[in-house]
Amino acid sequence: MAQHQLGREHQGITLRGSAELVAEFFSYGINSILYQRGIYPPETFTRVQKYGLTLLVTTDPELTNYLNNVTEQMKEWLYKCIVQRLVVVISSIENNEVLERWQFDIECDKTAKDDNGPREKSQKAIQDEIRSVIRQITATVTFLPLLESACAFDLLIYTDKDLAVPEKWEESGPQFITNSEEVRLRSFTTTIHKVNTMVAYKRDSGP
Amino acid sequence: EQQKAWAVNLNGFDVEEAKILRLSGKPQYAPEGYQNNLKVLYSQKVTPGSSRKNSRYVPSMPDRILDAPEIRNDYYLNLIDWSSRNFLAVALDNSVYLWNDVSGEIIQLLQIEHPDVYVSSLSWIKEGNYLAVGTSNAEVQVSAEVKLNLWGMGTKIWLAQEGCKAPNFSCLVWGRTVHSQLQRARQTQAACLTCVTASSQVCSILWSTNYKEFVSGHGFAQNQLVIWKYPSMTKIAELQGHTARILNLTMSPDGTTVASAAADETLRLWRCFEMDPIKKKEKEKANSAKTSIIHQSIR
Repeated sequence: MAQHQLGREHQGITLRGSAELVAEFFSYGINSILYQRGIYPPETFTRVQKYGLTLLVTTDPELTNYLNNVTEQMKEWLYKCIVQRLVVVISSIENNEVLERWQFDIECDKTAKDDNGPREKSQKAIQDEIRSVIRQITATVTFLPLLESACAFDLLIYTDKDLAVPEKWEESGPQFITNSEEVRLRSFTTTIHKVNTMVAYKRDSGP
Repeated sequence: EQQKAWAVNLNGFDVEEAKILRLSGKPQYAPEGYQNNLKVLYSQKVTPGSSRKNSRYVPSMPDRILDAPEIRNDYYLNLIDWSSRNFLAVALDNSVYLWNDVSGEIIQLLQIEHPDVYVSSLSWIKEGNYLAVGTSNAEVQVSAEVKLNLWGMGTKIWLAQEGCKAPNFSCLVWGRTVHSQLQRARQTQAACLTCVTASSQVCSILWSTNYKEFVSGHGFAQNQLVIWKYPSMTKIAELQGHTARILNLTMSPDGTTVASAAADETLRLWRCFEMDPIKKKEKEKANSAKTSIIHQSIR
């Protein structure tokens, strides 16, 4: 049962490796959303190289801590194949109205849990796919409506129904947007986990 | 169908039956007093270098961002040009696309069939109905004729280069080392009038037609555009957003917007030379006197 943990680098994709890749994507993806949508001041972000891109990640300690908590939990749930969706909910602080909703659907191949050995897909191929998704997230600023008021964000994770709720977590409603437009972005797959991205935003009722 | 089976069988559950969890506590937000700077209009933040009282407002965010996949990361190429008829031509490796500012339409103008040949240069003629396309194997003349049904124009493609003239018969030369110098030199004499050291590689320079200003495009580390006042050489604004070095700059026909193409595979349109209505009228008056002369000379 001793599958080497560094399966990512040499031996193809393992379940553990895939869970880490996907959790990592969420961390960078959420940072990108927070930067691009102006949820946090741009000067609180720093540039890093990842996926062959220059990405912005937060330097705010409280935010970093919050994101790490979620990412670590995601890693575990991805490994167990019990997480189905991650949602970034952006709402107005003033009236709690949900303005934007980034939804990441996760499909997990549960047969990967069986000891079949690592899957054939190169790191580079997965990176290229992830890069396309992140680029699209950046490109969405061209059509997403301005977030005029101060906004807060929340992360929702959809898990299997019979999962015991861990300490520090609680149940929540879906926090849908009333009257929304939806745009589907590209997806990527590690062959074990497949992530589909889409963004929903409030339909403009203006002139 | 197979995909559906995969999702249902292997996930095992309908998403409707899922449990939705969140970390306990309030939703996350930035500290008090932070205003989302995407909300452009009435920000009070003073950017360094623009503290003069009569400086005009330059938006810090681009008007638009366009996807530019496969754009060649080589600043010796001229990959974008904006026509007088408001078509922005963009060369993405071996294809040329046209984008119209008003309608938002994207048209693929041509794609080079020869393997390993890419488009190295684009240039519209003044009337905006002919586009010159230079290719990497300069011997070959690309002579396809393409119709743009939307606008009823035909464009013939031929090889040529359009010269650029700067006002006051000055021209700018630029260097590509890390601490580069922007120099002004008269066309007749190579004497340097003033020098300004930019903090990073300068990849492109463009004169404004609406103001006595020019804009420079930069590379590592900020990948920003800098707007400078002429002749004082003071910085008016710095426009950030690109995540890789700027390759080319071009100007909209009405002189209000600068398009920057960068190695991050995006085109950003910055509305940095907007004119206030009074000045605009004065300028239009002056221009209409000129255009009739130009038409005559071309005949």
